[in-house]
Amino acid sequence: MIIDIDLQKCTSCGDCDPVCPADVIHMEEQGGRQVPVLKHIEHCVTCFNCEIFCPVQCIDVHPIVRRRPLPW
Amino acid sequence: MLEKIGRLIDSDVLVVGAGAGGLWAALSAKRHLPDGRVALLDARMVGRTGHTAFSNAWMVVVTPDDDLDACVRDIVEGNEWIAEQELIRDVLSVSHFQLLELEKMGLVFPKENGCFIRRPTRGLKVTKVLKPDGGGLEYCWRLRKALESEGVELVERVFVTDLARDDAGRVTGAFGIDGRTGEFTIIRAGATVLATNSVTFRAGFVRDLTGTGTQLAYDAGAVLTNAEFGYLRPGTPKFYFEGITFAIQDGARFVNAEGEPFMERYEPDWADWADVQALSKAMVAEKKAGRTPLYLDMSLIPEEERGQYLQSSVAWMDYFFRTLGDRARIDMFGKTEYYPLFQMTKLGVKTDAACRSSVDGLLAAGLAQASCASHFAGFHIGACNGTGWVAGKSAADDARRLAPARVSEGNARSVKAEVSRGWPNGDEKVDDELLRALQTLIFPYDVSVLKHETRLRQTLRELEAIAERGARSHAAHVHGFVRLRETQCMVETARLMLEASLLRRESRMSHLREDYPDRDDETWLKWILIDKGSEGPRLWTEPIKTPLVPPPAGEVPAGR
Repeated sequence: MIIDIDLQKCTSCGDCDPVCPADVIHMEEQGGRQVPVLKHIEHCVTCFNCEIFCPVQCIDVHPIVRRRPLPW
Repeated sequence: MLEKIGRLIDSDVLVVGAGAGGLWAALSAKRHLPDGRVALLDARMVGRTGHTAFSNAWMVVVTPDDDLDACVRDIVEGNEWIAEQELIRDVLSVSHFQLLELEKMGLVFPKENGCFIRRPTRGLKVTKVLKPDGGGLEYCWRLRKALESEGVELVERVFVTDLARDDAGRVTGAFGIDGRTGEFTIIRAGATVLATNSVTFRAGFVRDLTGTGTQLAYDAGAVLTNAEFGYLRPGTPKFYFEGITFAIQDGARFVNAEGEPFMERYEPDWADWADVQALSKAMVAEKKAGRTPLYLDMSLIPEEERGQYLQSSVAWMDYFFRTLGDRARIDMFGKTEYYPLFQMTKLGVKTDAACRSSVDGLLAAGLAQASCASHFAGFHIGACNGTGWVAGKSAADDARRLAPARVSEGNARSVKAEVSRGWPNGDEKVDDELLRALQTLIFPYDVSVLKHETRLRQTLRELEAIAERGARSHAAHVHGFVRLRETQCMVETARLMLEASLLRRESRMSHLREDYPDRDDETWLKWILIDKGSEGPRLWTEPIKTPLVPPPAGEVPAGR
């Protein structure tokens, strides 16, 4: 799951928004500029796409997936 | 005027879903209808999201030096004859051409001495697989760039809610909404190819993507099949690891709570190299024998082989493995707990060998098309590639052959009114309670892996309550509306899965009946077909045609 977005490093390029398969990252106006905002974070699928395509490495994803249904 | 009702896109061929099947269907349609308008629609971003983009993109390829007939036999036998044989032959026949096309797009497939490096894959005897540098992300991106250069229109972030049909019942396009803004979109099309994912229950693949195209086809009157089969594979409770097949080639072994490598007990010939569904069955047997937890022991992989797992050329795997130890304190080269996981259904649209469904104007490709009941590592994408190419060609032919598509304003208005009721303008947290209830019902191993009539009937009764809740549910916003539609699709799929599982009174591949433990070729070399009857699902059977690989005479061969 996405655990941190460093807005100090973010350049507002918006590359992280469309590559999110779960529609978790929305670029929104904040403090006079576009920044990535986490929406419905519980639906993050831990795909790392936002971290992979961020050109300034300002997004951190943790590898563990939570709330998986188990067979026993 | 349709333009006044919503955004209108006109096309000769519409492809829904931009995984391997959809990307190839769009390319094929454009190549076979060069002056035509081809639109590829996806719920997210073409080339960057979707099941294929997150895979390694291992794919079956049959080269001119291979024995095509032997490979067809391999796949059919591996599917225990639940297979559309002529389509499999056509899929394999086109695979080498597609490989060369991918190379022309700039995709790099590693070679040694001028020959592609190929590997055997579990569950198949002679058919080989290979993968591109960069895996699925690179594969999808190169195909996207090819589509753009050939003039295919990409329609992104549109979630299809309904198929459009004319008075004669022909599918004439689709209706959808922008997944962010809710803007209503109408796509008019001479022929429509559904190339969405299989239906999952959001548990297996870390991407948790779910296909709703099969439900669209069902609602439009198409015949479906293979609801009783699923993609069973070992899974971990905490993270996803795509690479079990090759980890085992490199020495990893499944062991039980007593440290015993248990697969040899169940699969003397294949052991850990058996197909994933055989692994899952063995895990259930170990559970019943009280020998859980079960583990994959990766410590047996030699040090010199580990680099390929830690420095994957597939971007997300590279990130994943680098962070696993640091952040989660998990040693991937230790013993990790595993269990049998019902990753996705094999339910899909029943088509002929040209990928045409039972409804005029509607075709299917990829995992939305049910050519097989099992796909093996590498044949998932291999089959998607090939069915995409076949479906795209057929769709181009249909667009040329059929009369111009008509979408009535009345149809568009009623669909728009229906979806517009789906959400008020709110920003509440999405309620996933319905999904959790469904998962709790479906995922117990004695429902989705080891089946029995008594439990299937009980689960069907309990599913009714969930379905009723689903029908009454409303979303708070567009995101929630899409999630709710997906969950409702899963609920309906669960019903079809349970009904078809009750009907097939034998055990075959992933369909394991405790009360009918043997494979019964005499009675059950049949498709179970389903359509949407007026009072609920209608199920019937039809013999499977075996024009290329006859069924075994006499003793049934051991499963994989």
